[in-house]
Amino acid sequence: MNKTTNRILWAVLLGALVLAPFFVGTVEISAFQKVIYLSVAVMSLNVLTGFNGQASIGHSAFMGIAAYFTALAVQSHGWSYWAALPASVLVAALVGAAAGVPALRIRGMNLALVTLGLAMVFPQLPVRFTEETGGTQGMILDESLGAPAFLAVSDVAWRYWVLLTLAVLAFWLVRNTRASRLGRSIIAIRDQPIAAHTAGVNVAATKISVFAVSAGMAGLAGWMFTVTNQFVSPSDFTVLVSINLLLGMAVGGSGTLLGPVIGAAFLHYVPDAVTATGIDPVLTPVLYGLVLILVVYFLPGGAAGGLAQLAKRFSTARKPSPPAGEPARPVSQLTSSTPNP
Amino acid sequence: MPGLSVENLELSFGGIRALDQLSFEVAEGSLCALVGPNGAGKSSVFNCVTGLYRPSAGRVVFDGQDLLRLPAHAVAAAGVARTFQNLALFPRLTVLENVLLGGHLNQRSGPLACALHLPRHRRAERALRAEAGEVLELLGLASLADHLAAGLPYGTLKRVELARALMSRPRLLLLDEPAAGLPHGEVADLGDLIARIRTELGLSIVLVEHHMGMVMSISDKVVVLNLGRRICQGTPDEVSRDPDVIAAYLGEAA
Repeated sequence: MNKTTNRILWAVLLGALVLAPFFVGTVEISAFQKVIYLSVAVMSLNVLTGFNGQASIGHSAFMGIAAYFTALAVQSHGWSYWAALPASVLVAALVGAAAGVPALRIRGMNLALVTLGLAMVFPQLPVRFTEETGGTQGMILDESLGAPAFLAVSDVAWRYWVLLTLAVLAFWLVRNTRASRLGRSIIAIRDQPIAAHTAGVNVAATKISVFAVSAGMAGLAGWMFTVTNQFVSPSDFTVLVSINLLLGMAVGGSGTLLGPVIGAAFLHYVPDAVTATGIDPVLTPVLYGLVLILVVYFLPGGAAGGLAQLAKRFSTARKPSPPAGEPARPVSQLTSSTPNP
Repeated sequence: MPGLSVENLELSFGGIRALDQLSFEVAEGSLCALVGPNGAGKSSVFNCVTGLYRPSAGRVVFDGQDLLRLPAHAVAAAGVARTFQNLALFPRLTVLENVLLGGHLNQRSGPLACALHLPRHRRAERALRAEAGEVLELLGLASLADHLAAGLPYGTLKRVELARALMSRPRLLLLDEPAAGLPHGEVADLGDLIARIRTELGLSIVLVEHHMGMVMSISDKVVVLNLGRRICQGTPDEVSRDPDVIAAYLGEAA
């Protein structure tokens, strides 16, 4: 797929999404809003795990921190949603930066366990402060993010456009970063940290910054959650949410731009589809597990990776193939994880 | 005035002395080969110079600056680039992106300029890509620019690493067995290329290599290591006549 067709496809998709409120009903638009904030949440994890190679099961907590911050600021302290937006993102990013510090020393499964701790603790906090937050009952917000009066559009459509704009902006920033020196160094750290050091990349500073940005983006998804639902409760931000985000990333395709959107659509629509077929929804996690196994086996690049391969097959007749003569080496031999003494 | 001066370097792993009071100098703009049997400490020297290992004593002075005081990522900024014995490429970046990463420090757009795709950043990125194109051309890799590094043949990847190292515009280049795994006929070509890079770009090179033919033909100076110690240094001619070297490295005199 060349650059122009790629751009046209994105433009058509975006155009359809912008015009959606004129063609589909309120129920669908609400569903789209959920897909949007899930996309941002999956993308936030993708930035950290997919691009930078740092594992996290703590993203439900980053989302929850921003969602609760927004809820408390708007409901209890009379802030507007707009004022809560930068503040909640910033708070999530700061907590993320702090969580990123241990990531300098530990990685992989151990890092995942540290972030798991964060995800386990977070839902306890609103319960601990039940008087302010409504505890396990959750908290309903009286005010909604309404459309400005001069725009004569419905509030639902307005909220949808706000979310869509912010999500597109976030994805655009990720895309630009991916194509820059910063994006290359982020991926270099994932693939081969020693060589990244040697090329002059400040690995420690980059890893913490990526953690902070990823958490801030999860915070944006949290703000979107509160805007969409006007309700927050501890059960919305359990560790299960983090695991679902990981699933969404794997199914959609980690380390890609389109993947998180596909993953979010999967996370939102598949449970409904399962219920519609009459299967007991209790079995949904089993289905998730099955899908994950199939994806890992047959589509290691996720849905987005599969699509890219398909597109390539249509357009690569002219691409040069690697010179023959020597055997190609598998990726595992291509990297030496430690310098050789 | 030497370009690189390694002074009394000491490095141990547990009870094993990898480097023992090692000293040598590389004159500016010269090509110095580091040879010795496996385990002599050649790659350890590279890892000390580039800040990946922390020696227990000694100094590594380049351009009047002690490199051992710098964090690993700052050594590149001091003008030092290297390749790795067992390759350390980024498999899921393209060949071009791997090489561009070598130029990480030559294009200093900040995070905001990158994320917002500012015109200033776009110009800098274009310039960097043009430069990378030239380096790829020089090493005969231009046709593979958009190919992922994963899956390319070993000899090609060695050249990609060399391209990445050159891309940082180093003043000191450390090459760790660049000819390893190359078919015999290409070794001489690589030797010519290294000699050309040295003269055309005017940089100092330290070369670790087992292909003695290549070492002897292109080096100004050869330093021979054994068990972490320097046993001999001199011009290729001097070294190849040294009895200690013949005993330790080349085996009994033929």
